[in-house]
Amino acid sequence: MNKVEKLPADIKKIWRLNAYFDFFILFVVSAAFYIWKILAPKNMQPVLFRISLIILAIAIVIFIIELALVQYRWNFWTFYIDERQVELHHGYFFRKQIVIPIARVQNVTLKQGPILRLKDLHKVIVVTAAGSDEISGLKTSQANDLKELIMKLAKEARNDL
Amino acid sequence: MTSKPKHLHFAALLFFLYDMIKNALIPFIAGVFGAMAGGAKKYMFWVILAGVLLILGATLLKYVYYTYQLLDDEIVVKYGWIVKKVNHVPYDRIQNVTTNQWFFLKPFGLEELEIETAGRSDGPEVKLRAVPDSLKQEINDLRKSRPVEVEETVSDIKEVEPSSNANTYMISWHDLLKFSFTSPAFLTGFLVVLGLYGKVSNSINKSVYDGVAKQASHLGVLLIVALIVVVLILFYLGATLVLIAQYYHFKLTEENGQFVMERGFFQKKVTTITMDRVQAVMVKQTWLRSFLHIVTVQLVIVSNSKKDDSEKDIIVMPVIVEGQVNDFIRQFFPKVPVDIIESNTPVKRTMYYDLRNATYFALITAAIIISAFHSIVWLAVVLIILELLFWYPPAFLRAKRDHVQVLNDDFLMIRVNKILTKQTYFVPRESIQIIEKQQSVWLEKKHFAHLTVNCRSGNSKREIKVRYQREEEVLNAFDWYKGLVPTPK
Repeated sequence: MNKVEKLPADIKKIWRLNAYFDFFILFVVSAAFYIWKILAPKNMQPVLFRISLIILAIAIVIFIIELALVQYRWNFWTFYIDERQVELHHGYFFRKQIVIPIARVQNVTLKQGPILRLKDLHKVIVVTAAGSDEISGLKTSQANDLKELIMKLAKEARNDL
Repeated sequence: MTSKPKHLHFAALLFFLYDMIKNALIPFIAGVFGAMAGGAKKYMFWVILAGVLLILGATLLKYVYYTYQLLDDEIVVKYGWIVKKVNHVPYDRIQNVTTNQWFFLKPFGLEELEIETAGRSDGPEVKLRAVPDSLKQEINDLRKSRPVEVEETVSDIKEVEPSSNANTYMISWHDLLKFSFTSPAFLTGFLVVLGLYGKVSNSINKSVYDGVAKQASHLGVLLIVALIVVVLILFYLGATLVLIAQYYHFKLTEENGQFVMERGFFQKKVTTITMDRVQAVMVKQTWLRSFLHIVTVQLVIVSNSKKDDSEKDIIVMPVIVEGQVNDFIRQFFPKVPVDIIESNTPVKRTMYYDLRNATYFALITAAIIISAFHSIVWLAVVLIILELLFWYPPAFLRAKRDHVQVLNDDFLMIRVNKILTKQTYFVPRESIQIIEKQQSVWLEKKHFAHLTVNCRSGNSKREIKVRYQREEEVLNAFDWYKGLVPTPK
């Protein structure tokens, strides 16, 4: 794994799915206010209608931004692992570069929700004694390899807290 | 050397009883009132008796089932009578040992002993409410007799001349007063009371409140101001007295890489920590103290404290003159290369960025204030002046203070500004868990970047972040951490 890698392309589908999901939830909230407006007494109706519209507008804006950013996020989301450290890079306009030495890794958590399971992906969380960072999706086999590698190296480079 | 399971001293019953009463008081009172409201006055005596018996019985059972045992390589604590719990703490996992001795237990040679590990539990892993004060020494001996770590074997060799290389520092009355009177701690206490007052005044009947307000207006504004000042002074004196009692006879001893801090008047607190458990050394200077040129030295440690960042640090030097702090660090932390620290001049562009950001926030806040209070001009003006004071001085100080420098192979110096407080961290490389560089495209063009360093502190993390630093300095620290650069000097 000695090269800079990108997340699997499938993660983009997951992110899009998440965007639809977020939109759906906000849409339901907005719809709930609309239904309340229909049932509410006359003097409350304009306020409720406005709230419902504002939530819908926010939902649409968030939806568009999330969808638009999927490609950007994926393009500029890379990681690099060698026998010394885990490196994560995010973003182009606002760049972040995170280094976690393998010797500081306390444990690695693999997480898989129903959506990730669809695409056979795992979220990998690298935990240290002070905070954690995550790789939001890796193919199951790749995630397992990574976990094995980090744990093997961590055992060798044990540094006690 | 193995001992049998032992019970705590009988005095522990007192503490257990106190805890139990504290926990049971509110349900108990509620129960009594419930019974009264239910009209069951004749059973009142029996209800109270049952409650008291329950508390006494539970306390006694808790005591009977609470034992500790020192084994060769671990301490075992057993407790609980419904759910039995057994806690094993290996000696080489111990982070810090603290003892608290109330003045009334001193004649009996008893104290409370707490042991903390790096685990993330709510309180200390082991808490023995009343044990003989020789136990701590026993545990320390057991810890030392297991040379699991290289450092500890080294310290064993040094033990040929034990007391001669012991470093000590003892606070003088003058310093203690200086420390206590310049502490901003009273402000937090004051804010808590203000918050309580807010809650109380909400619940007070409005007519009563209006009546009082009317009377108050008769008294005149001057008197009210005087009253507020008096209350503030009382708070200040109260907090100062508490601090004096807490740091009374503060004494720091360093021997063979082990630090022992002793302090306290009513309750004597002794904390022991080995040097290799220390996560970072921090020199802190609050705003008030910066005028007096005095600073505080603290240790960032692993513990189970959930308190605020700087509150959970262990103070190793309550107050010292700025010019002598390097001598102090040289004496007690010879590994920290304080001599290499370069004095840096603030970078103009950093100043520009910080003040620009402050301007954004100030403008937004001003807009909100004006839109909310434009009808009351004087109030809007006062609020705007306050918000300017809130945004600009910290930004200015941050630009002036934020700095990062690689000292040598092992130590990084990071200086940050928290509102008005200057904090200088000396972080050993091993205790940095994560390092992070942030840089936007625009900053890259100007060769500037942010740097964040994560350390363990208490039972969570501490992020130490410097913003708008020269890229070369940030990269230097980054490469130093990754082990790419051998040594700058």
